[in-house]
Amino acid sequence: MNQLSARKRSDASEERSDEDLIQSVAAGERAAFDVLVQRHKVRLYNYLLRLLRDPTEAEEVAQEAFVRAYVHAEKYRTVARFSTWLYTIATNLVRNRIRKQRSTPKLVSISWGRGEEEEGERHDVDLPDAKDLPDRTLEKQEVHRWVEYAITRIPAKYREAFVLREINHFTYEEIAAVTGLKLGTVRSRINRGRSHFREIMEPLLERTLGKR
Amino acid sequence: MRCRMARTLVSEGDEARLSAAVGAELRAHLAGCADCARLQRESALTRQWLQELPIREPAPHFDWRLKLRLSQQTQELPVAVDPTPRRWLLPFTVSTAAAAALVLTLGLTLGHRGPSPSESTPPRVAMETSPGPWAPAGRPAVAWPRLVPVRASTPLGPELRLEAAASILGSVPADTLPDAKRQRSDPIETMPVRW
Repeated sequence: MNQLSARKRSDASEERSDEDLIQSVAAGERAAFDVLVQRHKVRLYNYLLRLLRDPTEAEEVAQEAFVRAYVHAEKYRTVARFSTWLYTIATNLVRNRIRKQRSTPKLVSISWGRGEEEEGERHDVDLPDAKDLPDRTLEKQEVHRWVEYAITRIPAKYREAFVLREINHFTYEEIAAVTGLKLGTVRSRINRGRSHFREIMEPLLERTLGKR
Repeated sequence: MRCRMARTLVSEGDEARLSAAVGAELRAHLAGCADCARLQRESALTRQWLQELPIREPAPHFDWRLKLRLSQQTQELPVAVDPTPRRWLLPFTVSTAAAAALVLTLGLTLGHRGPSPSESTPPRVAMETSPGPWAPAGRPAVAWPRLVPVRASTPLGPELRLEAAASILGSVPADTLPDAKRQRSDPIETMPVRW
């Protein structure tokens, strides 16, 4: 009987909107927050993974974002969607983290051909040259690896907007809210992100669509 | 339609939102412009690849760790502190201190006025609340501070405290104080408990 009523309660929670749930959290209903976490954790984690490129860091920031959302639940205002608010928190945490990494003195490592990479970012993806790929339809896994790699090569300031638009399907207005940028800047950054992405994917595009 | 406009529309992938007229114009342009048509195919393909990216799950202990952090966080939240001091304690504190000072003064002045004729040795510090055995005959006994054993690390022994009190009060003859040497040799010192 108790299990049945608990399940009914749980189903009712899952039908509620994010905004309704976070207001319940602010009123002290902890269970409502569990539903929010289950709804958003995977997408948020993937977004952070694409920004930070490190699973451990992505998980750490995702957790921190959820903790902050929980602690400051009463500060949430219904003018924005809960997801916009949550991603704003997460994006700010990422920016702080990157800024901190840049300001931390680093040991100089001996490596070749990495001078053009951004500071505080990692590139540990080892991809085959597209020209060396066997002459056959590209395997999906290979495409995924290329796509992941290309995303990581987009400069950080364009990557946020690009990922939010192309993968998370946020509207331009939502991206502006998350990043704190003007609408025109958001549009421009997304376009620049797309250009970078296409440029990196060029070998694969040529293989798939043929040479220009 | 010019290439610039066509490229913007294609790149944004908002073809579905275009009005019928603009859509028709774009299609006409793409049919006649190889570069823009190529860009459209590339955009469509890259968009498809992005959509097909596998979703990665966070580590299995994600929920458990989050719950742990949340419970830690809620415990660490600052507890609301009553900004007003406990004013109700103030009169009690003052009156208690005044009473203590009075009892100490009386104890020292009356209790140590001198040994009774039958006693040849100066009185020692009593261990329990009791009438001062050295109270003069015919006067009510004065309660002596209750003394309890404490560790030897106490900075001041009872005799030193009494000396200090005596020096402040200036009414107790020095020879009525307990024998300091004997007290100090005792491994356990005694000190008055606040009463």
